[in-house]
Amino acid sequence: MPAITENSYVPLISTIKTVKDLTPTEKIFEVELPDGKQLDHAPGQFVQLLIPGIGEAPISICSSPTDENFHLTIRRVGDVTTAIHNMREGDKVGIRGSFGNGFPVEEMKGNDVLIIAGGIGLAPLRSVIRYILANRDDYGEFTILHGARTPSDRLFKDELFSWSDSSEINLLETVDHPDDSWSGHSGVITTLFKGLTVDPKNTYALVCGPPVMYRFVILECLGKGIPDKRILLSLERHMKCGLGKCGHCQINGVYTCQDGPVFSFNQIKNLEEAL
Amino acid sequence: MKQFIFQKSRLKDLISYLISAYPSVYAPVPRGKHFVFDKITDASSAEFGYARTILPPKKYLMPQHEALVDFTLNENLEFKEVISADRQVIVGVRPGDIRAIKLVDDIMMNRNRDRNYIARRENTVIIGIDGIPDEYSYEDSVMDLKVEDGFDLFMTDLGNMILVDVATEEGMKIINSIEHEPATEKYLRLRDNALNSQREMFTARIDTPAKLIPLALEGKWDHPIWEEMGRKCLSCGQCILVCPTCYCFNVTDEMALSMDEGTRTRHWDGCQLADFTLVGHGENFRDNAAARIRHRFHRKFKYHLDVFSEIFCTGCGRCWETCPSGINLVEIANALSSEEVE
Repeated sequence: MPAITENSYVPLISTIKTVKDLTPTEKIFEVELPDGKQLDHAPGQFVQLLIPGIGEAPISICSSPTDENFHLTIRRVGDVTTAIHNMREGDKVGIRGSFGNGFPVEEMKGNDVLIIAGGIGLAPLRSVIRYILANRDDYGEFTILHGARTPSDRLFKDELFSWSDSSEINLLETVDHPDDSWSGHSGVITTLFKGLTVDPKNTYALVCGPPVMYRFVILECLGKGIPDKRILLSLERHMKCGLGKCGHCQINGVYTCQDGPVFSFNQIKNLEEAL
Repeated sequence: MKQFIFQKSRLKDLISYLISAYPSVYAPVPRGKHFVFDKITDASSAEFGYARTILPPKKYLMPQHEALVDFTLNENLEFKEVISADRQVIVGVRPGDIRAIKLVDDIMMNRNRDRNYIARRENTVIIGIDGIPDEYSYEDSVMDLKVEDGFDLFMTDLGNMILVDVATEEGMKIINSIEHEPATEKYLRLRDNALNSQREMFTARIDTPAKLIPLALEGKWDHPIWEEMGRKCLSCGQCILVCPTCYCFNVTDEMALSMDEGTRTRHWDGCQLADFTLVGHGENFRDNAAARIRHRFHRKFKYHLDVFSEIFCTGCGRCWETCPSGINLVEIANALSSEEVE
């Protein structure tokens, strides 16, 4: 539970340590909490990022708790995200959190892990990818299916390159719209399931991507025999408090900020409005 | 709990005492054709012959606009919690509104405790009074009209006399400011009679026992009533703004003209407004009025019932009276449950 400040609405004044361009619309920010404080987040959790005078937005943590400081990958879409895109190293932001449940990395130990990431959905999943890589011996087969709209939309290109080269990960990539620079697979992300071997008895599937992707990916996972309760979906919602009160993130009776953002398909298949 | 009676003519003295003893006293006062809770400085301004106020007394516990955090933006970026809560009395609170305050208390005070709400609540004295139902009231369908807690004093009008339940020490102190005597059996029976005759006055009724509405909702996710109401709904949000059990909010950062300081402010917000669930990249997870009305109904009669065993509707009738299209939860509840009979 978030307890890093006594008042739930007072953020910790934190410092942007580094900023890197990932694509024309996405940047990754390394953020340092004050006084040597650690976020101690679980992979899959998020923070409320405050740009003083502009406002607050929920942003997934894209680094592993095993990394130094923490990282946020942010697409420029609204006021808060545009404001932080204009900030530089040394600038101050407010951080509340971490919030939410995160992925059950303990429970997943000893099992195979299949990551299905579409577009910016790779950012929250990067936290668990890096966590698993840091604790590689605790997990079985490790497969990443990654889809982007175009080759230039791919996030973390350097890391994708090193993952594709690594014997520790089986990385399969596709783009919806290939260009001359792309010699790999093209088509929507579900085309990567063809020919994929999965041991359904001990595989966890972790899914994050644009809303339209979930239904199709879930069907593919079920088709591979992965049970409902081991298909884990990270959902996006509007949020104002992170404390299960403001109501914006409510899916039926469930508060995404507290009960999620990670849900098993088992939990939400009867939850209307979830997908 | 102790019961006393006092002469109705003494009520003014009691309110005068409150005005002298507390920084703020709020009471129902007439405003145009309606009543509102407002600050009073003269005992004769308070009038208790009202069916409902436009806004519930919630506004004194969770104001429409409430500063949470002050901040400065010069080289010393600084955030400072804002908690301001003076002693206050709300007098003339109807049983439904007392129950609503208890429900919101539970949300704000028992999980992820809200320091601003708690500060206001702990500084608030509540003096209740029995209700006067009109054509929009349906408290009797969703709650027990006899409230047992959630107040310091609760008054029942028995004609020339007022019976008062004293629930707290502070309530006792207040009642000691006027002449009173212990209520005898006779007056307790008169109160029971008054409650019984009040029950006869309700014309709006939910046909199903309200706690069984979650059962009536089974398999009704695509019931035509949602589309029917959705076509009427203007998504103006008045229903959620007047609701005593709605507590959803927005938080914004408001800058001073100097642009070097500002305030993080909480504002009432709610699920009937079209952009409530809109996220940055343009997805809106409840993008039509039918889905939003269905959500509001479920929130009042199912979701909170599943978790807290409480109906989050008090039957006050505010959303009904204020709705420009006449949408009301009684009609929806009855449409949902009538199917079973057919």
